[in-house]
Amino acid sequence: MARCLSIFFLVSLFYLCNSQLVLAQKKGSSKKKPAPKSVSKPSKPAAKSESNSSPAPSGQIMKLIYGDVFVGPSMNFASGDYIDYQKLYYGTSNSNFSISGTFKNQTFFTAGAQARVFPFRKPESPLSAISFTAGLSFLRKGFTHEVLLVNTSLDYKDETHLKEEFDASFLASHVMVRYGKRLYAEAGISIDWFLSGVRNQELLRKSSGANAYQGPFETTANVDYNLTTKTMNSQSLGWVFGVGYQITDMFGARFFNNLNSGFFKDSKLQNYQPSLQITVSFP
Amino acid sequence: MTAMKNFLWIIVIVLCSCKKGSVEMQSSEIGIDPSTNINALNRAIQLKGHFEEGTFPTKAVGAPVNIQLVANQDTIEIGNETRAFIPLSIPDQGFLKLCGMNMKVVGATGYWDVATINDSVSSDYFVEVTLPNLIKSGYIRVTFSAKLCFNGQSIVTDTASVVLSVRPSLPCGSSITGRNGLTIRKIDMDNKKGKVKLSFITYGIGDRMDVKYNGEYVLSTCDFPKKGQYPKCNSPAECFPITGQTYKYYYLNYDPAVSRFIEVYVLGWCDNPNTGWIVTVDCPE
Repeated sequence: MARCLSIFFLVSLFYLCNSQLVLAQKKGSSKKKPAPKSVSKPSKPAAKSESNSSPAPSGQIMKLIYGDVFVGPSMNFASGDYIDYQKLYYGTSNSNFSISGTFKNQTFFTAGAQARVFPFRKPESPLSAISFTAGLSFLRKGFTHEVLLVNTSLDYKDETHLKEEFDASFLASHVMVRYGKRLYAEAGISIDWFLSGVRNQELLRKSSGANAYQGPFETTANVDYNLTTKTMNSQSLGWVFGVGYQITDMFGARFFNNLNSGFFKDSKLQNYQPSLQITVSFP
Repeated sequence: MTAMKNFLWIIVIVLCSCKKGSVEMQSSEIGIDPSTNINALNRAIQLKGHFEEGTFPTKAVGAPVNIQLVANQDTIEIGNETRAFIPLSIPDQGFLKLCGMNMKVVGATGYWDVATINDSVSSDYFVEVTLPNLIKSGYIRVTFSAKLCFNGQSIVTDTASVVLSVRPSLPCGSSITGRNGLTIRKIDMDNKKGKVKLSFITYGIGDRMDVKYNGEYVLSTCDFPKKGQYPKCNSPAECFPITGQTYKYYYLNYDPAVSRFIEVYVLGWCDNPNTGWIVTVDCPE
């Protein structure tokens, strides 16, 4: 259901962008004349100033709306009470065991699309560098937890490895304000909608050594748990912020960050996800 | 525009290809859930044994000899990381010798060929298991079968089952209650060094309590179990003090530098299901 909804949003966004762009282009190209009252008048100096700013091509009227798509690798850093609590695991009271463990960050891929609106179209005004952005992106969050338990009471080596991997997919809908044209900074809020996810649990037990009872062995067990809204927050509010550089009118790069603490329902887990993205703008 | 359209379709395809698991996750807590991951549970139990991937050995259909394996406890309440001993006996063993014990979690694949300890006094067999912190609280039903041998031939006994009720450790100041059977709980004694008071209420029917600290028995209502022996139901009656006294206080010295936890073993009188008891472990003072 959530997935269908997200697909619907995504496709809607695309058509919205498409129609708005066409509209804006029509408005812009039908007259090289005064703009509508609500928008600033184009003038020669204005056109010149816009030629310095990436989205509006030189000599043209600044567009009202732009569409961007972005894609790039991201890394998820999980922290918070949940992680701290799990680390207590490694403190064992049993002198017959030694337990050690690690949390590993996960590398993912993020992609999305957004529409950007320039409400202040007076190019000579510093406000013209302000734009508002609304968009959707596909995010994956998760981490890997590995625990090694060694039974030291035996006269042979007996190890139990437990590896748990959380991988959850989200549709993030963000609203941001951006300042700057070629070089810009942006910040805003994001609602991350949980789509689906998997928790993979893999156990490896092995014994080795000459004294191993009835000889050495190695055995594994694996299960995939389905993550649902029973344990995951269906949506959560977080922060987004970033900086970027528009290399050409069409292509740019940005360092984008998503910070959200609503992952599990029953425990506090914070995910910070920076990503390095290539942006493609469609005037 | 076409590029953007294609890009969006790629995202739609990515969304549709999200992975799905086979079992619904019940809690975010890390560890093995005894109810949903029994195969991992079966393999994570800490014991001396050899894991076999095959079918659990059971008595052959139409076997000429029918030998029972008896679990001396139906249920054992066990705290994480405490060492539990599961007592088993073979009443009609005759001239046959025990040459193997098999154990598995009911419903799981594979089984353990597990080492047993033979009690020198009662001729019972004990299987020592420890459930590490990796295993979450819950109920685990384990089943056993024994292999008996004579002159190079072997037979497998009937199966016997025990339910292990896995409980988290308790903070000091907690009370534990129980009835007949074995209860093993781990108590977190906090960071303060000092004397710990334990009160043991047994009501009308006597029960046995043993306390382990840093791997050693440090307190017992009976004689300390000797090496290779365990507190058990068929101990002499004096192990179950009922001489008109329904409660008693015990003290032990606690030092967090030695170990932060104590383990309380209580054996409710096995022959009388009407027994009941309460152990309260105060914080060190």
